[in-house]
Amino acid sequence: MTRILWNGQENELKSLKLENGILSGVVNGEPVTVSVMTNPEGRIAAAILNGKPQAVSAVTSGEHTWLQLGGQVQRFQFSRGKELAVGEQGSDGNVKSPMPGKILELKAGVGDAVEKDQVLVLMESMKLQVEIRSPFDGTVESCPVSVGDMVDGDSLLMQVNAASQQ
Amino acid sequence: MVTIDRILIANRGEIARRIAIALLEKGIVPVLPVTEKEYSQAVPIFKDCHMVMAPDSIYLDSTALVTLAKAENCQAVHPGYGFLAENADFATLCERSGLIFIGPPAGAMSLMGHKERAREIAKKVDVSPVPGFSIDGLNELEIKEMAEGIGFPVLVKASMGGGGKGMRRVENPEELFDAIRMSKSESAAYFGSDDVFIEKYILRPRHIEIQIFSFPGGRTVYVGERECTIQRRHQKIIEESPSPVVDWKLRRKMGEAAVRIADIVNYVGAGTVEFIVDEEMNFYFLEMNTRIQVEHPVTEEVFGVDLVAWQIEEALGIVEAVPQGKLRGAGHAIEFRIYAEDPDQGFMPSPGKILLYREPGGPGIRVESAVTTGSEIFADFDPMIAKVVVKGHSRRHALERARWALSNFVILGVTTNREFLMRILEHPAFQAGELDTGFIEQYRADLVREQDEIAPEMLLLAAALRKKNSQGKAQAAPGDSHDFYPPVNTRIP
Repeated sequence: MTRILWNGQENELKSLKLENGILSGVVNGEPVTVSVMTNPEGRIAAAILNGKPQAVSAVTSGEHTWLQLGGQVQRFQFSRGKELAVGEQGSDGNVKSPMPGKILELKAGVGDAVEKDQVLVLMESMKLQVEIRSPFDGTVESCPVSVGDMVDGDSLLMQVNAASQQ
Repeated sequence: MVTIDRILIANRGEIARRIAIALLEKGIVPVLPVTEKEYSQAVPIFKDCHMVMAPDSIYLDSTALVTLAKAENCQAVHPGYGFLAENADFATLCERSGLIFIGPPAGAMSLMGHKERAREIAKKVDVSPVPGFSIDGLNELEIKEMAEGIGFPVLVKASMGGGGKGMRRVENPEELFDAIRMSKSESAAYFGSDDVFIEKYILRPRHIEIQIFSFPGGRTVYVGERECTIQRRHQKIIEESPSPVVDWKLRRKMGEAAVRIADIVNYVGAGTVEFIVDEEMNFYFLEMNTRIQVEHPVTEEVFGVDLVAWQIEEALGIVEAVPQGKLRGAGHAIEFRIYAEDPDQGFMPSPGKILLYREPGGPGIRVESAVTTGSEIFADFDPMIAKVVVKGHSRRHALERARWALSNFVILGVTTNREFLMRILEHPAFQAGELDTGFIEQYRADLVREQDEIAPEMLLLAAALRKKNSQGKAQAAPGDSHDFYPPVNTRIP
């Protein structure tokens, strides 16, 4: 079984098979088939959806696969068997950079009490300022970056510990 | 006459590629400064240019650019757009160092660079600017009275500004002075001058500009208009020529107005006069851009001209003046700017590495870019990845081609606004040509994707294609454009 995460939703895929131009499998318990056209290497080049052939392009980088079909791009995260982290970014208190960029301002420091949606970090990317907000009420536990740092996407900017529930 | 065989391109990205092609067509060597981090990815794009490794600051460093041009034996400099393209000091420095600056004379550039002065010039040749006034030397009471005189809402703008920086819309007199303070501080930070002025805010405005070209001897022609009304935060996204609302009479009136403005400042070369057009088709002078524009290809497609080649020929002293009567437009062209941003997440910038890149082709499709599979889109440069320009015999035909071109433009690995552009394209108001600069705000809900379900077929396809990838067989160029067709010598059973 393969787990596929899309837009925060987990899907299960079983019995994937390509035979005589028909791609089939069981998605979330339901059987699904798609007519496809393949090139001489057996690679899928187009799919027939609603009676219309549409070119398919895909690329994989690590766990992620990007698919473009009929002008639409979708991004999927794959894992064989193991559980995927479902839920919103930052729900574990790890506040990460949504894209590469520069740290312009730290609006909270270690030990500060912060509120949900309070701006924690101001970043600059592609000449635009981007505000990074707190996922919940809590306390800033750590902050491994400094003003002026260039960071990659998905870098840890701050860790927030949730305020204890009453 | 000096021989010109090497020209420095003081720019990067798609416009550097556009200029390089125009130079190479004439047998001139393009000399191109490239930053260290972009160097290796620039090699496949600019392999026919003389590339010189340069620091990150190069494109804004006039002294370093001139030194580089001299060291590389260049005789001229093409500034492209942005960076130093409208910097009169850079133009002067080039000329003093014996380099031809491919653009208008520094004098014309600095006259037009100051918005308040440019408005006065327009008035001199009977072209009305948007009603407004400079607040310089006025007290608060006078400012308030004059603003009420032109009528709210008004716009507070930086005199030296551009790209929407230092600009505020003000609904009523109470908000006026806060807006002026903010505009002054932004203007000082971005443009080094806190001069601001106030102008009338035109309701449901269109942004329509006239391309002009001044041939030597003061022979200026206008090359039609471009409708650039689809904007977000004063950044253009879609441009087209002709405008769906400009008829030949209005085109001639606007064109002649633009020519008068160019002539009175002794303009040379390519330039653009921007107008705001209200609902009654009154047009008001906004500003003049003294450079080649991002959206110049739509004009080239409709009029069958090569504006960048004209610029170079003008610098070489070999340009042949084209009379106004010979410039006839045919068909309809539209440009779409592809940005690395996520419209569904508040237009969050999305730099990163392009994992798969394939440009669309076919009749009437022209793509301008300087990236390929594996290119990194860096966080410290402009987010524009490519421009898709389509040409058809009518607007409807151009829209059909745009639909094909945009849906077959494969860019995977970084999020782009490509699908957002497709949604604008499909919008009934856009299809009908009913545009104003508030289009994107007004129809935001229709244009942003709110998808909460994925078709199971998509999951199957992703999994199947991923499987092929992970086997590593015949994956040298995943999704290569020839995928669909068998190799030449393969027999189809």
